[in-house]
Amino acid sequence: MVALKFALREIRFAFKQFRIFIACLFLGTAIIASVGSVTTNIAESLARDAQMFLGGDVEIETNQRTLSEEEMAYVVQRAEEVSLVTELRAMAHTDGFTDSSLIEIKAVDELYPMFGVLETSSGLSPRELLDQKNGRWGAVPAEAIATRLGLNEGDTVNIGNVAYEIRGITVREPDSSSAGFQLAPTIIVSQDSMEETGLITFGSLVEYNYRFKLPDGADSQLFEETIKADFPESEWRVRDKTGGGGQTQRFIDRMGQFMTLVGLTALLVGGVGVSNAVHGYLNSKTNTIATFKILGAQSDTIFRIYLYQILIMAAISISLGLLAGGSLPWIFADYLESKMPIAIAREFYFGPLAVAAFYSILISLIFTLWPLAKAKNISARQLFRITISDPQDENLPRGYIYTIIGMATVMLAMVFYTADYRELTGYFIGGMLASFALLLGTGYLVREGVSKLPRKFSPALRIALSNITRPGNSTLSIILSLGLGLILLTSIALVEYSLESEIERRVDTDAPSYFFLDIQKADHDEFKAFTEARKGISLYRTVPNLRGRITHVKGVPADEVEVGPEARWILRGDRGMTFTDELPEDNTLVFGDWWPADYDGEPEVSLSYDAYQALNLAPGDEITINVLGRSFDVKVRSAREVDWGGFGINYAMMFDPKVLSDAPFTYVGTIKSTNETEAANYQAITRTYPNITTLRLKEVLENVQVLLEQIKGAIDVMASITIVAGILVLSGAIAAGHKGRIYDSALLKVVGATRKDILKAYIFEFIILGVATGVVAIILGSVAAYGIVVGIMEMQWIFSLDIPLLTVIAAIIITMSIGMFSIYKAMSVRPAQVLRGV
Amino acid sequence: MTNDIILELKNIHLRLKSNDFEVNILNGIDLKVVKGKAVAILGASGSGKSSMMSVMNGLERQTEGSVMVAGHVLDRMNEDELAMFRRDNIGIILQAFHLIPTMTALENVAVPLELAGVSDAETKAREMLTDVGLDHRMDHYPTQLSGGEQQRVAIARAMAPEPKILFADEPTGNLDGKTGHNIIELIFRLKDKNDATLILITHDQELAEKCDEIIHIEDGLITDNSHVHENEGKKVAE
Repeated sequence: MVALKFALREIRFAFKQFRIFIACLFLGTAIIASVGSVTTNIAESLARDAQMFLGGDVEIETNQRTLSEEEMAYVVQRAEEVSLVTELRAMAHTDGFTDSSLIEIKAVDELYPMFGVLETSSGLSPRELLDQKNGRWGAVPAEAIATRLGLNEGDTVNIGNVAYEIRGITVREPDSSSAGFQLAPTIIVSQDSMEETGLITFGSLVEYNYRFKLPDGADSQLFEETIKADFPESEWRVRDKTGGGGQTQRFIDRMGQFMTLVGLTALLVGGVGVSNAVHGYLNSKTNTIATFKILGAQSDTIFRIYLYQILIMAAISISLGLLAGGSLPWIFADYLESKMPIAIAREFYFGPLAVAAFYSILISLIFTLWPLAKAKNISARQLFRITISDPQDENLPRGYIYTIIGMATVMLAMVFYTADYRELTGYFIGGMLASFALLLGTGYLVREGVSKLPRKFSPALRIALSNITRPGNSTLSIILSLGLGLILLTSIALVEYSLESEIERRVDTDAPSYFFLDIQKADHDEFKAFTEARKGISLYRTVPNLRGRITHVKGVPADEVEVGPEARWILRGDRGMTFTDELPEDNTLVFGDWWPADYDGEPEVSLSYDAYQALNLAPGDEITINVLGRSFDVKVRSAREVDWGGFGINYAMMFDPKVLSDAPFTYVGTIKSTNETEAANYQAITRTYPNITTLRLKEVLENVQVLLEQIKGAIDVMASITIVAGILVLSGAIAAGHKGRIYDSALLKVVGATRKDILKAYIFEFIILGVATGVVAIILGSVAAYGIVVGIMEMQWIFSLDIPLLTVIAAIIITMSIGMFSIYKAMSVRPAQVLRGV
Repeated sequence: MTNDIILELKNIHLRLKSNDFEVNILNGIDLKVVKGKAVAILGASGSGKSSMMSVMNGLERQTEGSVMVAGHVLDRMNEDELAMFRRDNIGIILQAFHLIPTMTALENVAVPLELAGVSDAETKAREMLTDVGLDHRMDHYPTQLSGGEQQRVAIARAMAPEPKILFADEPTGNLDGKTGHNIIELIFRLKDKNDATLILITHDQELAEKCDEIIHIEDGLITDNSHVHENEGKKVAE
């Protein structure tokens, strides 16, 4: 109680010294709390309207097949209502075929939507929007495609053989978030109109979504489990409403975790500021602590007096952070609702706020226990000696070190344990800790290195060097606080540079201009003749395309085969496959040989090397493939190194020319067109072959660019927050040395230094620290970027010297700008003013 | 006579390490102080008088020798035991006052009482401040007090727990002549009132004369340990 009483007395005057402490903890807490609150709000909204997002209580998705009679009879018996939504990619053409674009068709029946409301610009009901009226079917395009093709209500859009009438533009599609990744915007049409389009033919990549409304009180999860158990062989994907929200939920989860890591980084950087602030505060309290000891206070009492003060300050900062973070869903609710088809709950959720508070309290303790432990050891004799350095830290009980390590471990374990993407989180934590340790090491090296330099330089440089090494210097804090943010900035800039350079390089050299899907066998020769005859066309390439899946590997059923998560895709559902007698130009054989042109032996397959390795295969091993319901065994003949990052058509599985040649298939293809002819050729091809789906590289790249910009935006936010936290810490570190600078400056003036001399000394000091921090940031940032580009993205490493140079300049500018206030004050001080106060 | 000894130093040596070399501060001090007496320690700057006092009150640990104060041998006490020993037995007044800047005069005086768990600490602190003539300054912070007032608060704080021994290290060093005189009067009045022993460090021969004994110290050694106060006619410092 006495300690608390003393703490409350002392804290009345402590707020000024705790400004950086409060700002750092507030920032970190607010970010983590806001991320948690926003994601929980969205998750709650998604859970509340789960039926709407999924489109039903349960959904069964099939590819290229409708439900069998037996399957249908099973569900009809158990569901109150069954609605069908059919999705496939196609081309939409304006009236007169003047313009075309890739779209996703969403064909719906009369029950659509079973849950929620389809909002459109015209406000008509789904039936009025889509049904045949005066011999014409209606269509509702998404705003993106309406804008792209200049479509308005009343206009015509041609899809396949049908000329649809636009009867409204989508404002809100209730079940849009359950769709997977979409290459193109959606146009909603009636299920009944699909037959007339002629788009659903053999081999079309069509997806059927059967949505069921279950009787009241029925357990959707149980339904999902039962149907899977009753039809173990059926090829479908069953989802119930508890997994609703699909893509949106996954996106939110991913962003949430990413941003939580950002918050933790800010908190970690802020921890340095917290530690500095407490260190500075306790240093200023040396005499008070010594006085307490003279008056009979024990070390534990001292420890508690200052621990309580720190906890009070932390409680204030964290509460403010939680309030700000928890209120964010209210502040951004309207914005989020405009971006996502959900109504934000606008509620305070205890869970995410508790997590944020937990992390922040741990960070406060981890970073303050050390200075606290040092403070409790301050001896009463401190009052009799002039000290300019820290109190001695001899005899620090090991218990504190163990406690700090224990708390740090608990925190990291919790971050890791709660993460869904543990590998990424692990890399992130590892990278952060390594950066932290290396920056700290650099700080020591700079200090030690500078202290060993001969002092034969100009007086200004000598003063600068002394400032870096003198007792109570801020060298470590400056390098640490600025370094983490700069490492992030450098690595991000280098990764972006590599990525953009690589895309540009590939586009310039081998990238095709168009990709074609669903070229029917019957059209193939004519299509080839037509396109090759066009001006500016080159590199025509088409390959047969089928879909099938691996059912067994060396006799083991696919779902029992052990593969890592990164290679699970090979065994998951249907995959594209082809057959050919030619090894693609951009593939190289790792082992085995290619089939001779007139191969007529046993069924064989060539696998991509990554698939071959993931499935743990050896030459001659057997795998079982199912194509359109027919199973057959094939032997592994060769493995190819495939450049998945390229723009060419590539397959994990390529079969010998004979085995699949009789199966029904379509062709996919690529063509390169010169820049001058690209637009005209696109128009001519899409107009002549309106039913062949054509992807334009230009548009794909634009979409990729948009995606990259969004990712870049999120990463930039992360770097900015870290930099802001770093700047806060830096300001604290420089402010801590401010009093000393003024005193030094006054003394230097007494002995004849001019303001220019003093300015030069400080500029040298900040340049040395800026360069040191910048150089470390370049090295660590480059290593991180190299790891991401080469290790994770498996792309070519392209380095630019501009970025590191900019990093160093940024480091110098930031330190100088923050230090300028201190420098200005130090330069303008009148010696008598300072010396009178000594 | 032995029972009356409240402080005893035996062969005290103090050596402090500074970077590469060692400095001998105290070079074998032997001293006995009788309970209730006022002892002045006189010596030039750097002679070792403050260090000697620090060893006496447990602020500094001697390199060699033994210290007994108020029946306690300090030699093997750790920092916390020393703090408790000070809390229960001694009061210290320093030249630079060393009040806690974030506490009012009243709170400063209450600190040692609160640390000792005295239930009516505030009432006692009020009485103490009234006793030193600062009843009108109770709620003032140190920066709002003059030097003399600050030293009176420090004296009140040192005397509040009714210590057996009062250590005063140049208590008037930062004050003008008249204020210094008043402070000395106050210290002696309170010492007599509480029947405490006073150890006073000073440069001032005239002030030293007010004490029962005077010890001269030079280069860490007691050079005149036989001075006997004329009025008392007793020899206590050996």
